[in-house]
Amino acid sequence: MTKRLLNRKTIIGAVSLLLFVLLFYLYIPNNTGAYTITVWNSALIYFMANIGTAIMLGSCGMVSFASPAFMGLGAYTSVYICMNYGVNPFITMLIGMLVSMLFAVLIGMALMRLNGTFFTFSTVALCQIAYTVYNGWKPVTGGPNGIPRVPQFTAFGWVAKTYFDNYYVLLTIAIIAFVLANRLGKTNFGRAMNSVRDNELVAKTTGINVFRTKVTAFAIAAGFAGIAGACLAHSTHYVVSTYFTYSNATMYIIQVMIGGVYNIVGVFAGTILITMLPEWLRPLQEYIKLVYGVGVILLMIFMPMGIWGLGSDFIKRIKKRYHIKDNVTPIGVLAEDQEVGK
Amino acid sequence: MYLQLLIVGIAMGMIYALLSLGIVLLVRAVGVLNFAEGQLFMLGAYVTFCLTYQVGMPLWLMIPIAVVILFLFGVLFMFSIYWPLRKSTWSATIIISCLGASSVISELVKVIWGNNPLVYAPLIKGTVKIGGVNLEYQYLIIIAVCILMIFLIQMLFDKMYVGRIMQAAAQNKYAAGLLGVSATLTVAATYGISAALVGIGGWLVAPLFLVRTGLSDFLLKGFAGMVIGGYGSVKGAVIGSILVGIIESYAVLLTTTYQNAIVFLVLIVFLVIKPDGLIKGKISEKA
Repeated sequence: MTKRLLNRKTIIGAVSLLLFVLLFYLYIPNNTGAYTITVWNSALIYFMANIGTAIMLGSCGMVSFASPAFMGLGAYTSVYICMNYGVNPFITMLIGMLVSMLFAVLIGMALMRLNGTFFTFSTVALCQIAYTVYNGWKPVTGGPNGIPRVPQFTAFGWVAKTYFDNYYVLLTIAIIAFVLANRLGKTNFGRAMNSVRDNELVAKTTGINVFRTKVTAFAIAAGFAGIAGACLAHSTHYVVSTYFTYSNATMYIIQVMIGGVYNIVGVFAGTILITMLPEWLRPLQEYIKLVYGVGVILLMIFMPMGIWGLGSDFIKRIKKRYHIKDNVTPIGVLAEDQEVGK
Repeated sequence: MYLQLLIVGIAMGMIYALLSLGIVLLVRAVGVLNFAEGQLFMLGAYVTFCLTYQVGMPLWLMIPIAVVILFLFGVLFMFSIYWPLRKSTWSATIIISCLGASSVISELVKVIWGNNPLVYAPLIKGTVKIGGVNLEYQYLIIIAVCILMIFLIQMLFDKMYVGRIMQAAAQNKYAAGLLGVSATLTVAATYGISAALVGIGGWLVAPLFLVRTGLSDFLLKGFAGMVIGGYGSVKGAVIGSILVGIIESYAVLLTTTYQNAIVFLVLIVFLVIKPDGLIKGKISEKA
């Protein structure tokens, strides 16, 4: 099969991405109110953190609850450096991300000795430790009172004054994160992660260092979480320990699962859906978590691959109906058909 | 002071032991880590509160009825959370649906009993003097009841026919099936026993920590105890949990702010130096 730059799939992808970007840059900020744009902002931040969770869950097959811990690490590092040394927020955000990744490598080396569900539970423990520290270390984190007046985004004399300015900044970072995550799946490392997910033994026999792959994936996930945390602090001008609790972690996992873990677009859809749901279902505000819980159980029973899985199933059926041949293996088929973890 | 901390530590460790036993039973039977175990623990506190104060039952009647209710709830839980997903090849689905279930239970409890913590009077009021320090009676009751529960569970699995059936099904589902052991019944019974066991734990801590949804956080320490003791081993879970309780209790001497962090730090240290736990379980490979 020859590889052409301008095959049908690439063109469709590029055009839809362009339309998508135009929609998000031009349509949404001009047609939403000041309150709704803050909801969009938080959706974009959650999306960045969820990319990390999706890489862990979809590519590497591990459920991780650690993202609030690393979000906090990124946020507090960035805020601390920014406020005490007066460095530009964009640079401190990157520092925060790097610190998160460094910690993730160190912690990952301990946690990756556990497999499967025990790893998951230990990330819950990590989340709890992190929250205790963020809540208790008052000189740096401000504890339950938080740190007010966190500097806003600035670059070359431009200052993000309104929530709309923040929206553009966050959208740009989210798009960069999206492109990076999408590319990651197509690299050698991405394929190594997938093989670790599908069968560790086979991965080992083909010469993949399973332990190192898992630790690297954990670090990458932490990096996405770190930058998301830093964005959260700088765009809301406030950071407090309750942003980084375990219950937030479950919410992130639910967001990822609803969209579908095998595709970043699905993750985006899931994040938007769950973040917007409380706005749409205002009368049900009190029961929203109940609705989530029941929804998640039903989702796991009837469509474990999420919205994206449902969509790709639908496309597969249409192609079968109209006899369209497709050489590419649809996403998600591999994991569904194989016995994972045996 | 030290003696008091020791007794408190052992009492809390016993509670964590009930939780980790509840988890271990399910790990052995179906190989699933139940994330909603903490919510079942909390539910135990609420159910006993409801029966004692809202229905007005005496203690001797309340306990058997609470156990039956919790057992039935465990069975219901199994049929709604585990059963539809038992054939799923992707282990994450069961974890996620357990998470969903935990949020459903918490929210339902909030809808029924409200957001405010409820006060549960201790069985025996007042304090007892041991070695010059005052100690609430409830801690001693906790130790006594927990030892009894652990003993009963041990009896069930070692001596009784039902327990042997369940153990057989846990060890080899296929062979047990050939001998006519119904997998559905044994798994349902395991879930029921697990829920009842953990629920009693909830009843025990209610006088000390109030009846509130935050009780579900105890699960994490039960898990820590299970990992320190060794996966899937009943003995290990009990020993590890008591160790966690004592560590947590003595951590007060060092710091009160980071008390939780110290427990989990010990867990992570254990994961690094002794990932198999103190006592190696028979099914550690399965997890």
